[in-house]
This record gives sequence, structure tokens and C-alpha cells, in this order.
Amino acid sequence: MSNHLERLIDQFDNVFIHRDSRDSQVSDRLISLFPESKIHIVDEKPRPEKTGHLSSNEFEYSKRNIYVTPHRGSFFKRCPGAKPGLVCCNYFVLNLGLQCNMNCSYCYLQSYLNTPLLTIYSNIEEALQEIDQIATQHPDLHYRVGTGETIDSLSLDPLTLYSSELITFFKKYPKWTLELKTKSNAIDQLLDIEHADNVLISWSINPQFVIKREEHGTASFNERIAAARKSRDHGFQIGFNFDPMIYHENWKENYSQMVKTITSAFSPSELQILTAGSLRFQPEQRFMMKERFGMKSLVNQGEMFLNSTGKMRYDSELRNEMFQFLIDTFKEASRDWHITLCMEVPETWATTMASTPRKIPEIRDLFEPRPRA
Amino acid sequence: MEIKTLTQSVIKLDFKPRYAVKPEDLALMAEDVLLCGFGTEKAILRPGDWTELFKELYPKIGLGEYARLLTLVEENFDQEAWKKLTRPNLWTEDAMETLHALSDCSFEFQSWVDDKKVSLMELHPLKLLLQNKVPIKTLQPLLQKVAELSRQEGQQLLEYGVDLRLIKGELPNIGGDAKKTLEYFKDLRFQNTTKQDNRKKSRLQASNLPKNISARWVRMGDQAGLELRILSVNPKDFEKNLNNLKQKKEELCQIIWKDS
Ligand code: SF4
Repeated sequence: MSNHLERLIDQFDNVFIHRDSRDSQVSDRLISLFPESKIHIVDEKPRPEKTGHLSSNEFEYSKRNIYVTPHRGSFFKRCPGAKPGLVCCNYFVLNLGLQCNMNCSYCYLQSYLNTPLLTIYSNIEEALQEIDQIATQHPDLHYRVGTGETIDSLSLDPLTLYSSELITFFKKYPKWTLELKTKSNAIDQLLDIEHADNVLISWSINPQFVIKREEHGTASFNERIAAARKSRDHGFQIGFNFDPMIYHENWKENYSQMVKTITSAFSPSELQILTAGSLRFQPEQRFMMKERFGMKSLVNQGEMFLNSTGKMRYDSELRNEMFQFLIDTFKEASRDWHITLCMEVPETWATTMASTPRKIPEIRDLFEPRPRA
Repeated sequence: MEIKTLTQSVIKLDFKPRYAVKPEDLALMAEDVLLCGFGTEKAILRPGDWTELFKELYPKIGLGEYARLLTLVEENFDQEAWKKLTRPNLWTEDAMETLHALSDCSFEFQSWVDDKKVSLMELHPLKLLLQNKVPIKTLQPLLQKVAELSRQEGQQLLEYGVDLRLIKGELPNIGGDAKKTLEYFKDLRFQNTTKQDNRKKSRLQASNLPKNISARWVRMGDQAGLELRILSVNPKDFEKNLNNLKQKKEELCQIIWKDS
């Protein structure tokens, strides 16, 4: 058994399996992996009384208790960045679960989650059917589909093996790209399958100083770089998301060191996507963040202001400075590096890149509007 | 109507309501709980559940009052009594912790909470103090200032004050009036941004603007910028002012945004 699997099995107190999901592959696998004492077949969702906003304790509980259930409703959604006032990259999200086993101080699930369980949807075949339908309607369009919106794409994969299934499925649609976003290094289960050219694994990454302080339970900087190298060598497309960039006293030194490591480990043509975003969160999320991570957290100490999009963000000048610094540091290594800004407002684009994304030839295609799913 | 002499076993639920039941000398009890006229020796015994009578007598109470009530209910009853007295949003773990923290605050602060209809969410910093084992009494000078402000300003001061206390390990000095304290705490909490804004402000002050044109460096949320006011008395004057401003453009940009 791999270290990842052992750690995951240890990490969870209970696995609740809804009777409707009992015959699914994922349930079989969980039953075979976890000790019997942790497995419970249930007829209804545990803690049904709990609705609405979670307390910190309930949120902690949700990180230690899995609930396997069929997903009712549509799996396929447009990226949350696709909102008036935000520039976005026609990215579609496929949610195969809800909640994460890692623990970042800024995680948006803290204001999003309203169920005190880590949910894994058991009916992945229905998700694949949905994709089939859209693909039949728009066979020539280049869609990007990501699975890392409400659950990390890979960290629970040793348990579910969902990504392997998706990778195999996406071979049928060479014009589409499957984007797996992660902060883990749980990729070994993917190395056993023959890769598809249209699979991109991207790592959200920060300097180790930030990872240590704010991204608890995630893979270290070096582990993420090593996982990216392994994936590249196996033939996957790879990328990095410098998101969220977090201000701290020695941010320039730390981000510059991070860029140096990346530019010496990879060439621009090896990284299909490089995006950047700065720290942002819903205003009410700060309460839980302060409770759970205290005021020593860089995120909680941050000087955050309410922005026109309704989120807390750094001062716009500081954001521009951070993005510009990142871009300049990459460009110092080579003019061929290109960074896209993610979940940013048009003003930031205009000041840091002297243009909006649809006007930049190298990345224009990513931002062309696509029909709604 | 049965009049009962109060015995040792009667629980006086004197949560110091802001508005006394009228007439003020009326004393009412249900079961073995006295619910108004707390100074009395005798009370009218009403039939039925005391929690029902409580709700009848006090249909609307504020969070400060609830905090005082919670202490009394916890001393004398179980969770069920609390549930009968309150709405479900006050049964949650979050709400109970915040109310416990609020019960440690001064009566004056609790009254401000009730007068201004401050929400549970806005009182979250108090809960944070409790969780960090900071005795709320040590923040009394801050709470006193908060209670002199409007709801929005008070909530800001409370949040900045608690943040600073937890970051620095002590509360910054409080002097001057409440509004000045708020400004001072805000500057401390947003230290880097304030420094940056102040730098721009002083450069702007030192700049030589054309007559009839005034400028300010203003912050609106995550953006700060130059705000200009031009006083023109007729079209010709307006054109002249604009031309003067245009001539100053480069210089102004240089002065204000030289390090951007
Ligand atoms: S890895 Fe992503 S989903 Fe998981 S805790 Fe961190 S931010 Fe949240």
C-alpha cells in the first residue's frame, strides 16, 4: 500500500456510504481499503439536522468523515470566474465531490460548504454521460474541463481512482482538455495508465515559506516540482497556478526563488499553462479563517479590502506589483514565458499586461467565448 | 389569581431587561420561575410553562439581553429551556460561544449591542478572544470606545482592536475620542497600505497645483487614486483650467506615481 493511501486511511474517522451508492465501484474500493469499523452503510445523510453555514468544528469534522452518495443534478458547470466584471478563460468544472482532505488557511470551501462531510459522488458514469452529450453537440470546440473546483483533483485519487477513469474517457475527445488541479503529489496511480495527450495536470504552487505557513497537509514545494517532473516525463501536459499569491515580508525573495527553481527545472514549452491570482475570499470567510488558523497566519494578517466583485482582496496597487514582479522574473529567465491572470478584474489585466487576454495572441484562444453547457 | 410568597426554591430570572414589564411593580411567575418585578417578595403565579410566559412578556430582546439570559438559564436549566426561549439561530455552537463572550462584556457594551442591533456575526471578534483565552475584561477600554460609535464604526473598531491584540500580543494605546481611536487602529491594522497612502497624500500636498484645482488622494476599498476638483465659472474658465491641468499632467504623474 502506498504512503498516500496509508495516510488517507488514517486521516478519516468514518466512511458513510449511502445505500444507493453501495453498488458503485468507489464504494467497493473504499470498503476494501478501510477497516470495517470505519465503514457505515446509511439510509440517509449523517447529521441531516445540519444545514447552512458550518461552524469551525463542523468544518473540521467534515475533513475527517467521508460520505459517498450519488450526485443529483448536473455535474458540469461553468467556472466561477465567468461572472460580469471578471475576465475568465472558458473553463468548465466537473464536480466529482465536495471538500478536501488538505487544509489551506484561505480555502474558499470554508464559506462554501454547508454539509459537515467530505462528499464523494459515486455516479461518475453519469458525469461522463453528460460530457458525452455536450461533446456530441459541439464536437469541434476546444473545451477545457477541470475537476478541481470543489475538491482537489488528485489528493483523494488514490482512494477513488476517478482521474484514471477520466483520463481514459478523455482519449475519445482529443480536442478537449482535461485539467487536473492539485496541491498534492498523489500522481503514482496515474503513471500506471497510458497517458492521453489532452490531459493537463497543474499544480497550484507557492514558495515553500507560504506552503508551510498556509497550505497545511499539502505536498511541499519540492514534492510538487518532483511530481510535475514525473508527470512531464510520463507525457502529460503540465502547468502551474501561482494562486493565491500571498503577500509577506520577504515575498519578493521567496517568489523569485520559486520562479528560479521552476525556470531551471522546466522550459517554457514544457509548461502548457501558467496562471497567477492573488489572495481573495468572501468577506464572511474571514471569521472562520481567524478561528481555525489564528492571527499568526499570513492570510489573516493580510491587509484586505472589499473589492467591487464583493470579495476581499489586497490593495490593487499591491496586486499589480506582485503580478508584475512575477511576470518580470519569468521574463528575465526567458521572453518565452507567458503568465495568465486568473479570477482577476479587467483593470488588473490592463495594468500588468498592457492588454486584456483576448488581445494577446498566445492566449487568446483560451478566452474565446464557448457555448454554455 | 394565585399570589405566592417567594421561597428559596424560586428562580429569579433577572436578566436585567432593558424595558421593564409595565407596571413596573408587577411580579409574575410561572412554575417556580420569577420573570418580572424582581425586587418583590410576592408574585402572581400564572399557569403553564414559564418559557411561554417569558416569551409573552419579552417578545423582543437583544443579543446583550440574551447573553445575560444565557448565563442564568445555564445556571438553572438544561439546553431544552434555552431552545424553547430562543430562535434556532441562537442554538448553534457559534452563537452560544459568541453569547458567552458577550456575557463577559460590560453592561454598557451589551446595551450598545442591543441599541444598535449589532448582529452575531459582527460580534465574532469577542468569540475569537475567548478562543484565544484572552480575558475579555482586559479589553474593556476598547469596548468602552466601541460603545461610543455607530454600529458600523463600532464593529470596525472591535474587529481591528481584536486583530491587533492577537497579532501584537497587547492592545495598542487607547487615547483620544472614539473616532480618533478608530482612525488610529485602522492605520495600525492596515499599516503598509496606510503608509503608502500617506506617502501619496504628502506628495500631493507638496505639489503645486494650478489655481482653482484641488486634489485629494482617496481610497475606495481595494483601490486608491487621485480625485480632482475643478472650479470653473464659465466655459472659458473651464477650458483654461483644463489646459492648466494638462500642462501639469506629467509633473503630477511623476510626483504621485513615481514608484509605481
Ligand atoms: S487544496 Fe484546495 S480545496 Fe484543498 S484545502 Fe487547499 S485550497 Fe482548499
